[in-house]
Amino acid sequence: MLMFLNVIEDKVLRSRLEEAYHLYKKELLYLAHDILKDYHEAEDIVQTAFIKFADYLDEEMDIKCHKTKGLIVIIVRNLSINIYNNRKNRVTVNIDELSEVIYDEGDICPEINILRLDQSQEMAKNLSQINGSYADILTLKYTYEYSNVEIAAILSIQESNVRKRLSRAKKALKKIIEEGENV
Amino acid sequence: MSKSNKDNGKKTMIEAYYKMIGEAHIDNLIEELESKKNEVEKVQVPHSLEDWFVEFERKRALKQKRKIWVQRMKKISVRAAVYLVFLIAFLTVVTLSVDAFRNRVFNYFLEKNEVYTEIEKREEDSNQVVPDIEAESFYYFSYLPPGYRYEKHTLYGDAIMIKYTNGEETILFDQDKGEATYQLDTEDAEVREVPIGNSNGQLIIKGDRTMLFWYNEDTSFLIKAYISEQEILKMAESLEKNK
Repeated sequence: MLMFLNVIEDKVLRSRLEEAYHLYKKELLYLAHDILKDYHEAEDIVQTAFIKFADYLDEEMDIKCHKTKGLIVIIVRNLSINIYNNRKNRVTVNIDELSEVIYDEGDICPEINILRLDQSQEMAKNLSQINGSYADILTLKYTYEYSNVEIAAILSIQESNVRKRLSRAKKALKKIIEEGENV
Repeated sequence: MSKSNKDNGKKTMIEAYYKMIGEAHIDNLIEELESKKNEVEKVQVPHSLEDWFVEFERKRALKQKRKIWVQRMKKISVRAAVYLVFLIAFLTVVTLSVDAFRNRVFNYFLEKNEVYTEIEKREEDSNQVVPDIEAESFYYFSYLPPGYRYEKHTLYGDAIMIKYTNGEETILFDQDKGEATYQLDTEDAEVREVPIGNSNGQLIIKGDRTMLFWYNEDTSFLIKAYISEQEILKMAESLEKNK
């Protein structure tokens, strides 16, 4: 009986992965190609993204919901950006080392954030515009509730970079909110 | 409200806000993708990607099966180990702790053995028993043919006559320290000299009857019996002195 249930569970997970693949393959290819401008690399990214996604797929996930789609989109986006940066082999200032948005203060104070609740979509958009990876990492941490280790595995970065990026994302968000207040 | 409670409350609120930002970010991402729906629709999925996915799924299914099998084997192993522990514990308790059971089995053998030993001992005793003879010294046989036992003895001065019987036949054993004259019926009998210990004896076989005569430094001996030549010689070889 147990074996039978395991087989069913396995088939359910497989069909979910298949469903996700058939639903999102075009969008993911488009997204990766949009960043990399290379079909072969875009294909590689989609493959890697599904390998990673399969590890986090569970039976409670609704494949069609935004949250599930958002996860695989974030994975593809970040993998593509990593490849893009490596391919260019350019001497760039690491996005994590940008100091323009770094402040010494910690988290934002709740008084500010209460005032901005109705503008969260706008805030997220602004945050993404400053640095797409900031919005992604904040989302993985607080919306998907993954640990730093899990986020590091999903984004193929070191755990120490996850912590840095999270800290900088929070500070960037604080700056956006404060600037919004001053307008 | 204590300071730590206040801090916890703030933290929860901030995290909820981050979560909300995250959800908004997901919506933004999807919205952006959907705004490019027309372009997305034009994307041609390469066959190599389709083939890769089929193969990936197949390998994943195999991996999953292996994982299930390993989990199943682990469960079975744990159960088997538990059963084995119980079995060992049960056997240990039965073997070492249940005195009554153990003793009963043990005693049974002992009892059987006792009986057997006793029976054997009786036989041995009848063979090897030193007759209770009032003489200062005398000879007896440590070996008797099967079924024979000491029955009685008679003293005639220096001579002792011991009678052994198996209930039907008898063996007569004469020993004489003095001068003795034996008149043995040897008509139509086979008479032969046979070695006995360090000396020789006269073996007389007449029909079923067998007689053996020999002597040592102080005593002469005569056995008369209805036994085989081998048995009579074996008896003679087993001769012992009481002291």
